[in-house]
Amino acid sequence: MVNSRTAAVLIVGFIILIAGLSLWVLGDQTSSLVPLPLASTGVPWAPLLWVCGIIVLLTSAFANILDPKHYLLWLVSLIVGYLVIFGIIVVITGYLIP
Amino acid sequence: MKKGYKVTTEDSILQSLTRTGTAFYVFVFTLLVLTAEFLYAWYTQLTTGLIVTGMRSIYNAPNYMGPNVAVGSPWGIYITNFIFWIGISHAGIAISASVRLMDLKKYKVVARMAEVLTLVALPMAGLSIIFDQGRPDRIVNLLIYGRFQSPMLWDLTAITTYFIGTIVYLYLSLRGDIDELARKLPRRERFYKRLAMNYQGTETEKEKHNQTLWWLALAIVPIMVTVHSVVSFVFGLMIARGQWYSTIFAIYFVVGAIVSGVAAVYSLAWIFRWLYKWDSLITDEVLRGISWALRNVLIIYIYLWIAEELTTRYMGSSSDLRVSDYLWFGPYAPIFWTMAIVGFGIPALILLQPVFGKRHFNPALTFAASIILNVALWVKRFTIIVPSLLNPPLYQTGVYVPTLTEVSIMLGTFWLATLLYIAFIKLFPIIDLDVVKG
Repeated sequence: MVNSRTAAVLIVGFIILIAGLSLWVLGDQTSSLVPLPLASTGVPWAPLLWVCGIIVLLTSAFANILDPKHYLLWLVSLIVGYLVIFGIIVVITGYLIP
Repeated sequence: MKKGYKVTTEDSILQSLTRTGTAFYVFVFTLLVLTAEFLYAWYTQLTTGLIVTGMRSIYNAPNYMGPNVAVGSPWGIYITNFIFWIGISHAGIAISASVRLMDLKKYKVVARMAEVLTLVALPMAGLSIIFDQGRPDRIVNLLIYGRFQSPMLWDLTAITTYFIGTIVYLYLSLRGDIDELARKLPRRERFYKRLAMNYQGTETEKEKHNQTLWWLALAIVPIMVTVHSVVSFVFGLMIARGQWYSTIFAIYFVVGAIVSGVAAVYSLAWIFRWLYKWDSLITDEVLRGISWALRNVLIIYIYLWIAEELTTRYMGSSSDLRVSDYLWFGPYAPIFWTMAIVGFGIPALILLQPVFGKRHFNPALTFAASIILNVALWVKRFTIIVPSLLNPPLYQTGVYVPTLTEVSIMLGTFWLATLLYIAFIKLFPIIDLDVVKG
């Protein structure tokens, strides 16, 4: 059985995902299908919102089992961890590349 | 199976966490040295630029080598490696989810090996993409300005979803074992207790875990198919490249990934069985079952490959035929035919042997076949990418030779993946402890 907490997480995740996708799609100023992400979307960070929505949706499995404190710990770790990976790559390579 | 459990206890499984000999330290030290060499090669590439690789533009500026002179391939062994690791990652959740969804209890013994393989392989796929970028410091732009029309972004989405899904799945399937480890290994009790996050081990809790994992497995299977289909779209949506527009490309990629992943799981299962003498746990029957699956998906893959080649040879466009000729009769012919005969033909014959009776199944020979298959699949991805880029429709044929720096960086993903896998098996049991409880 899915408990109310899991249902809430699923709904929140879905809303974030749809919000991210909407801003991403509506903000886009190009219409042609091109192979490289050269042009920009109209709403910056919309792709990140979309990715965060996916992460929240997937953590609903944790919400079904863990207590709220541990659930939040996992959620924050996954989102922050994901961003930290990007951060590390940007900082280290940005420092090394002349 | 029950017969085996009498001689293989939980302690036998836990020996992978507790038993550490000289050979282990020598192996890890060697890997660390190789990793250091890889880091130096990457440092060289970052500070010097992609000029240290063999990757070049399709054609150069007229004032350099004359007009319309093709000089190379902009994608090489890094992108090959990316597809290879994505393929390997398929096995994990595919096998684990199949075990759960189809109630294949017999194969639960290899489920975790497969899950960890996914967890280790996905970051290596991501790293391979970063190696390929001239300016990885701009990667965050994907999250800021990424375009939803780009298959690159679909890739990011699919890989992220698969990776996070795998972490969630692995943790939930591991939680009971972590709690048990806190009791069995007192020196690490605090670490495991914290990680178990108040796990009580009640029947209700176990049931809830099983239910959640079942739903998660159900959700992850389509994600798995999506990940590799999207990888094929990265090629299929490029402009004017021979042999990249086949309608079966996505299926071809997904099946190739399954072959790659199942072969990798077989290899791992055989290595662990040999290393820890787990013959009574990872029985011949289990290995035969995996080799049966491997044989069947390999036959489907070879069929798709033949279908693709045949269509190209008879009715393919001129650019398709040009690439095909380049592979069949051109400079890549030795690689192509060796891959086809030694890399696929011989393993297929080995895997077909058990068809003539169970006694024809040879675990060690099948292990050799699984290793050869994965090498061949790496080469197959190379022959999908590079020849098409070396033969642009409007320019002359180019040349691509990877440099030593490039090879060192590519191999670095293998050293890193092995180190990460070893770190996992030193912290957690590689076989679900529930398996020995029956």
